[in-house]
Amino acid sequence: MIKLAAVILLIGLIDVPPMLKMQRKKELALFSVLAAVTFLFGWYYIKNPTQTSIADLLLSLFNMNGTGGAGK
Amino acid sequence: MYKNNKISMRQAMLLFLTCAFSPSVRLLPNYGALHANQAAWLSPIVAFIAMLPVVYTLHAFFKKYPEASLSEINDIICGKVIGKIVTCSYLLLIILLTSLYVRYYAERLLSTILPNVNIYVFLIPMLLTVAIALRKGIVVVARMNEIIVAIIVIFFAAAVVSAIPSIEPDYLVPVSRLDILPVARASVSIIGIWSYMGFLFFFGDVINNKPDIKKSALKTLAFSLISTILLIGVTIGLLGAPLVRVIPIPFFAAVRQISLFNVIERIESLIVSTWLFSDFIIIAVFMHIALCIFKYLFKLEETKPIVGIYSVAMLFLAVFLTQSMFELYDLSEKILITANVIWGVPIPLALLAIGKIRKKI
Repeated sequence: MIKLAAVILLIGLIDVPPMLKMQRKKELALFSVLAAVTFLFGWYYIKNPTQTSIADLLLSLFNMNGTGGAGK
Repeated sequence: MYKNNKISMRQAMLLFLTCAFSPSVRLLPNYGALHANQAAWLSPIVAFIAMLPVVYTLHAFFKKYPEASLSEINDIICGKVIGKIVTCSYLLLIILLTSLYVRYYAERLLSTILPNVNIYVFLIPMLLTVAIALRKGIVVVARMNEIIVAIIVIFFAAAVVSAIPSIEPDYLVPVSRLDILPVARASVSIIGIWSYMGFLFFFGDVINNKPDIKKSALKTLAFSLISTILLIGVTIGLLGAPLVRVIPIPFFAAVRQISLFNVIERIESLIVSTWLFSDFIIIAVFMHIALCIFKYLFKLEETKPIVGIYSVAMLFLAVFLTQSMFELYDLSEKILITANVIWGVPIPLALLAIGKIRKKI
């Protein structure tokens, strides 16, 4: 968790000052949203590393789990 | 050629060729053998015919709007609201595809040369390299790709030429009219991969000479047709369709069998290294497409400030995507190939039809 926060903070330290300097408000807003989503995503994954994956969710949604395929 | 921070149509087509290499090697021989057995090597012909309307559609779009990107064209044809919904649907697909290719790259290294290694050892350096390259811009990636595509073509040609003497012609025949439907079914995966050609034009505003798209795209598709026939033909010709169907990466297994006069052997390591180059380009290109769509949707001045954080997001999405290699295969073959075909062929054709009806094209 600390490593995740540190990585996001490091990227913020690299990318945010130039955006502030150049008054890039839209970029800063999108950066903040992406940073928050990434942190929540990473936090959820670290807390539950064996949770249902996106692939499993999508395959269940289309009722395609375990129906075989090439290369198996 | 590199004026105004733009890339040429030739460079865009070379990016497509490199992007198509990695998924083609991984998927096409398996998928072809599963659905069309020994006749699978004919499936690229069907895919080529299916792609012709897409080339015509892109030509029609960019003849009318030579300086636009596909996001802008979606808005022009469908109106601002529906156009943005269509563009967002492409964005979701591109994000999923990016995380899929990031994960495939790592899983391939884990399954071929370095098992029992933490997946982050592969993911972090790749995404860091891609982020650094993308901060320099797509022009730099396109220039790098000119060298990478030459390396891939040389290695692939060498592997194919070395394999030809060992091919069993009996593994590739008989072919009859009964194979027409299976061959058409097998071509779906090829169309899914070749539809990436259209996706490149989401950064169409930085591609020069777009009115020449018909000529360039047809030449590129003809090259892809020949190389895909060789890829599937050589793999099935060396191993046989029943075996190709069940091996995870059959081209890799086929190349392992190649021996030139008992002197040059184990050239599969060259194929793994070319894969890494191809993975780098496909991840970089797909990330750039997503960033360009973000730029259009949010009216950003530039994408450079969000490259870093987007790369970290892709890292977590890649590990979150699947729990196993089998899920990854299933997701790729059962959902994303079909999604690629839908977003790559019928949707552009529907956009063209709507554009013609509304007299926008």
